[in-house]
Amino acid sequence: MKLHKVIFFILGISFTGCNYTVVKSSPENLNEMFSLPEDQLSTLSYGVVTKKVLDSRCVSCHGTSGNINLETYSEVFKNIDLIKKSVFETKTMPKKGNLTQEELSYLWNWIRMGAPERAENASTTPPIEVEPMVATFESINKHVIQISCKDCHKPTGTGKRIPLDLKSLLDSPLELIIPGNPAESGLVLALERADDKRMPPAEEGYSALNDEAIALIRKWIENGAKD
Amino acid sequence: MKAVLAIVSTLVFTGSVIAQAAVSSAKAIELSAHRVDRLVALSKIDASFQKKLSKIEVTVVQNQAPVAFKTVVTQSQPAQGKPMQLEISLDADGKALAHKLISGGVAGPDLGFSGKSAGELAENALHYVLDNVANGKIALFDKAATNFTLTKVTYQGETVALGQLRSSATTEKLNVYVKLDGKFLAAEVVP
Repeated sequence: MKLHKVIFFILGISFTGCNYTVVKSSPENLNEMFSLPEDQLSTLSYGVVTKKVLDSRCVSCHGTSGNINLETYSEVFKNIDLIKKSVFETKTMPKKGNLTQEELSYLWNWIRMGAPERAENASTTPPIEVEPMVATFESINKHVIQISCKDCHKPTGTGKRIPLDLKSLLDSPLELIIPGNPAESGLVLALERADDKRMPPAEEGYSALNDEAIALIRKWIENGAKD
Repeated sequence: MKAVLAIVSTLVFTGSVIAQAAVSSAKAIELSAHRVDRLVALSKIDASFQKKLSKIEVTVVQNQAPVAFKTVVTQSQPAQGKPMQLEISLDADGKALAHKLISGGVAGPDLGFSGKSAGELAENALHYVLDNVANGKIALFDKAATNFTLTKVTYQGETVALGQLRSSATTEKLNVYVKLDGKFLAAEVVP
């Protein structure tokens, strides 16, 4: 009799758990959780989602050397079901930190609307200006360090011994930057090497930087790495 | 005028003392391991210094500014020919100033590190020291390290890398055990 009650109790808990998961992940529920004002919905486009979510939270791993590339609209669109499933259903992505409510809202609504490349009111919405990376430290910091390096190279991270602010890069005894000599600069060597010491590290899931980004870092060092 | 000169002299002297103390001996060893990696990556020395690194000795250099440390890196097996050693000169900040190959190395057994290279295992073992200088016992090995050796041992039934650090400040030795994939396992100070 006692065993009967225990089994009944366990089954009860199990069903409650299943019910909870289903309710939480249902589209209606997600629509409610991640609602956006109408005026924002009408401006949603690939450019907006790239700027708000993909560039900062996905591309560091899903770049050119990742299994799934999320750097272009066609690649993102091709993988849209996988993105939806991994972010909103299984919640296995992103692996490094959760998306914020705002990020989830932009992504969910964009997917729900069919992942359009252009906004509904594209004719009246100013185009999203994607700031291109240039050969300055400010730009490299914004496009590379803050996206692909900062999670480890922070005071409490595994890369804490190697801070990546400009002064530290220039002063490091590891000669991370040798102004005028990109070929022997530690930063470039770390980005370009193919073994397990490549940065950002493949074993942490990071994609290698693309050739254009590395070329701009090389150019910045070649120019003297002044700012 | 005399007072000004005295102050300036004191400042200069103090400055030089501070410069000497900018990095510790253990840090100089760790930076030498990184330097080996760099020189191999630039094909300036043979890769066996990285793959088969077995020992790094450090000497604090006096009165040879800007050189503050000299380290000697030993490979257990050369790529070809006779075993060589690598001497690296570092300044007070640990920046490598020069390197030269010196003869006289003694061949040892090939430890056969296959996951991470011996150089990387050495780096990781030394990181333990640098991360734990707040511990008084570890600090003795940081400040007055004299040599670091890397061997392969069995620890609690597992084949691992053992980085052993010696210091002129103590007769004890610091053993740092690192898994062959480079992950820190354990450390102990032993007689």
